[in-house]
Amino acid sequence: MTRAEKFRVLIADDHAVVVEGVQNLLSADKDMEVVGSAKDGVETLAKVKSLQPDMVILDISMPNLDGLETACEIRKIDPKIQVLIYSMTATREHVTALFKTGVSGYVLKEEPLSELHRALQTLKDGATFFSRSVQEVLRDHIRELELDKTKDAREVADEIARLSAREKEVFVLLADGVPVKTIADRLFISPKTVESHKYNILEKLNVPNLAGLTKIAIKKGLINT
Amino acid sequence: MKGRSSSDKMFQALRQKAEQLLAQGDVDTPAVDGADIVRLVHELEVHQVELEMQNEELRRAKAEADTLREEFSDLYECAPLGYVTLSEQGRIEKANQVARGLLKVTKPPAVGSSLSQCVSADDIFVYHAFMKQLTVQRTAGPVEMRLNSQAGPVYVLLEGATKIDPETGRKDFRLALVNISRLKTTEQALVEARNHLEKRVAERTHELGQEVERRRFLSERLVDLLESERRGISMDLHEDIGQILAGVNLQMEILKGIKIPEGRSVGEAVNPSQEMLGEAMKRLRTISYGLRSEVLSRFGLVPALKTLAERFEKQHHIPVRLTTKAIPEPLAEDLSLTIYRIVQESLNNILRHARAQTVFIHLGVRDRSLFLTIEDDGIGFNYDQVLRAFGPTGCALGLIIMRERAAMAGGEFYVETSPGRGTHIRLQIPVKLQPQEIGNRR
Repeated sequence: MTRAEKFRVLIADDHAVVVEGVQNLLSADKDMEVVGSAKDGVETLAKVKSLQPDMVILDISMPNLDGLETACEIRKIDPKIQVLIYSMTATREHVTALFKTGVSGYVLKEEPLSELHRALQTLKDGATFFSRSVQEVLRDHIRELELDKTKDAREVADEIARLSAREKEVFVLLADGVPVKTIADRLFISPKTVESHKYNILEKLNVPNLAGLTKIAIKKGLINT
Repeated sequence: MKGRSSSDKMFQALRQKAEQLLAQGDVDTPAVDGADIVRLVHELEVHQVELEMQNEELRRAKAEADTLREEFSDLYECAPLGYVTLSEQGRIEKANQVARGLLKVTKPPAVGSSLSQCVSADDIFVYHAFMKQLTVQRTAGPVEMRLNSQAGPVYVLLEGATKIDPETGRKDFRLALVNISRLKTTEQALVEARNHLEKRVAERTHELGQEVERRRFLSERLVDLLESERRGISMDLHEDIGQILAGVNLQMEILKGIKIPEGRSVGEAVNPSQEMLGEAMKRLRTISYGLRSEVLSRFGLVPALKTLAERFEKQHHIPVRLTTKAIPEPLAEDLSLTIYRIVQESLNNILRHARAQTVFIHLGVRDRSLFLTIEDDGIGFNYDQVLRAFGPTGCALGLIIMRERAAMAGGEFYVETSPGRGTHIRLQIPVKLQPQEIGNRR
């Protein structure tokens, strides 16, 4: 039995139950071998260096260096080592950040064990595997990115949609040159609130001053020239 | 000098009378012999010298007395105290410079001017009592009284003694006046200052008392809140996770009894349990997410707010328009948490009470402050009433905790709302950039 024949796996998780479960799952597979386990990020990196596994099954929430940082470090030590994230966490930020570090797989603990099993097989064959839930998160993210891209085209319309109904009222009055105090009296709100609306409008419409507001209002036909 | 010439005249008159008497021969001159005459002449000569010496002595004594008189008269006139001499009827007979100034009388005093005219009407009884004492006991004072003056009352201290002429029995009153107006003004200012101070202390004490009361009330409510949160979590765990796990347990019980035919796997029988476990983990994630945001601690405020907004939209189908501008991430951890919790609580309130169509959240930075606004187009509420009511819903408590959180971060928290007009929440918190943190993150 040579090293080249067996696929060497390191399990990194601070919960013994999970380590045991994964070990059990892998024991049925004759092509794979669990070479060790680690309880935190620092221990994981040490074992990656000493044991040189082919794959690390990595939890995200761990003491001393979380999964995200550990994944980055593993990539630095040896980019050939495959990283399979096995975690309870699947926020868009975590998924996209880990995706960017180049992890090979991502499975949620709440998914059936068969998903983990499939992931292990797929990674062993040199491909990548992202479970259904993770794919959904990635799809959402890509959709958002595409939305952002098209945003530029219909920019002005979109920007005005960012304003609340009250802000739109204030926007039109400000663009028309009505003083803050008068607006406050007219809308039965405090001048401080109008000021706050003013700054929010400037920031949301991305203009530096009231003149910019007037320009947009004229362009949109909201006020007469 | 007037004094000297009059005494000279008097001597001259006496001499003339003596010479006349001698010339008339009325004087009985005894017969004397020559020796007697010589002796007599000698005695007369001695006597004359003696008289001349006495005369000289008297002249010098008089000159001295005149000088002293003049000196005392100056001292009297220019003394820093006021001196007044009154007749028995209280008429002013003599007054020095200071007294004339105080009493507004001329020099010499006009006939008929009396001291009682100068005393303020408020103190006229004090004056009469003083004069009575002076008459009966021959001394009186010091007594404080006010004199009339166009520029407000002048305060004086009055002291006096009675002088009785031993021959005629005539009475004079000699009074001394000290102007104590400045002293009085200072004293009054002191009294006022002390009263003001006492009032302020009383006010502050009252305020502090109220503050202590408010704090006590708040901490009681916080304990309530803690308990109700615990109840909530316990309920979530029990209802959501507990029930599912109970289900799994039941499944396991059934599995124990199942006999699997040779060559078949247990998979089919185990599947439902596994699905339930997956569901339990999903619920657990939702519960733990509500308690602590991993995105916040790992990726910062803006991504965390985005996640919060997205989840809110997905779960409750109320659109949340989140905009942020130039947020200098990473912000200090406690500051991020403050803002995150306030947004979270606001969204909770909107969900429970507002019936809003859309929520607008904007986070911007200007003048070294973070500005957060949360606006909804819901039904609004009566802020004062809600804040006063402190109902069991805990909604006002949520508002108070938001305000306290803002205050703890050195910020200001405003709510502007009224029934039917939506709610506008505004938070302003000064932001300190932490340069050492920037290097620590990628």
